[in-house]
Amino acid sequence: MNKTMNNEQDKLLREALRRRADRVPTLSDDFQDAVLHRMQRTHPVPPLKGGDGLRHGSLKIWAWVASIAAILVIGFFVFQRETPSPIPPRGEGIVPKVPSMVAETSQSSPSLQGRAGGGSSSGQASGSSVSSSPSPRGGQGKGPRANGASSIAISPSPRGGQGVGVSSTAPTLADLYAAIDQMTNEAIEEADRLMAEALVREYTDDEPS
Amino acid sequence: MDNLEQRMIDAARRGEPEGYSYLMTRYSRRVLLLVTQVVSDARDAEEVAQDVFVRAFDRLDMFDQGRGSFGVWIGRIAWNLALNATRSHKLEDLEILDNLDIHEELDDSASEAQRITLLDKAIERLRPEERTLLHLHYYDGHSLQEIAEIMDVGAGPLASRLQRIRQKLTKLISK
Repeated sequence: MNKTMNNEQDKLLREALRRRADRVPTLSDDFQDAVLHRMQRTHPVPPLKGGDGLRHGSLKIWAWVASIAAILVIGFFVFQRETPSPIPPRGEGIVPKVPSMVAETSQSSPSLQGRAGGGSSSGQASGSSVSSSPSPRGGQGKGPRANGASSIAISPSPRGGQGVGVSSTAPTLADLYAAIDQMTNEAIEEADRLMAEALVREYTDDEPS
Repeated sequence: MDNLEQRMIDAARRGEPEGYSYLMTRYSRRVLLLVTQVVSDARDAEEVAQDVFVRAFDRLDMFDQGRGSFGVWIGRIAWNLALNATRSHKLEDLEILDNLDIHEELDDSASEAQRITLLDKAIERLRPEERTLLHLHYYDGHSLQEIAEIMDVGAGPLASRLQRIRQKLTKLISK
């Protein structure tokens, strides 16, 4: 009996609350737009509808196009470097003369072997040079250094490096990587710039006059 | 939480408008009704409701579905922002017994409609906390545990409080 009474009272209570809720006016039609607009002040949010979405869409497309273009350019560059070119690779063409020089000289100069293996010629020699002075820089090779032995300092590249080599104007792999990095960075910066410009333009358009 | 809602929450987290739209469509009315238990002015209440969604979307990454439903989570935001909105108008600490001084008498033959009308007036005079408690429990159908999460109070005190309000209201209409 008591439970039935409670159920009846709960029913009346629910009904009263329902009436109260019914009196609350519905939200305005632009409620969602207002929320999104307020959010855009802090976080850029694509609009729900309308042509504004095209700007965001085209922006995305531009970003994709820029990325693909960058990849194609890089790929072309890499492909071009991997195909045979008139510039002889290191150790061929003009270069072979050097190993013979090394071979000839190394017989009479143990210090040269040490230099070639130890790679201590970094930055000390520029270009191909043959020094006949009695080993002014000293050798790190095995065995005793012969007094008066000829020492040849050969730098493999303008940056110096290891072993015997020849300075060449042909780009190295490091140069290639640096070029790729630079192109990638430029592409990203360009995409960022385009996006920033578009956003600034949009905010400017959205500002109430 | 159904799969669709979860997908839409994920979409909103990614900043997709469809996710925002779905959540607002589903919860905006509930949020508004909760806010109006505290903020009486309709325009103010709608503005607070906007604040609620802006805040919720801004902090969507903090929503952990393992700890409760999205409805409870956004309800808590709504409750806090509604209280903040009325903080400048200091709520009068009215005692419910005095507050229910409705100058109407019901006779035995009072119709159901009359009782409901009387209840309606009595609810209007409740403190916002009491009104919100009634609304969440009897209208929204939240459990006491969920209401405790929304209002950030213990479920035990809530239960006794709800019982006390209910007794006073039913006493009023059972004359």
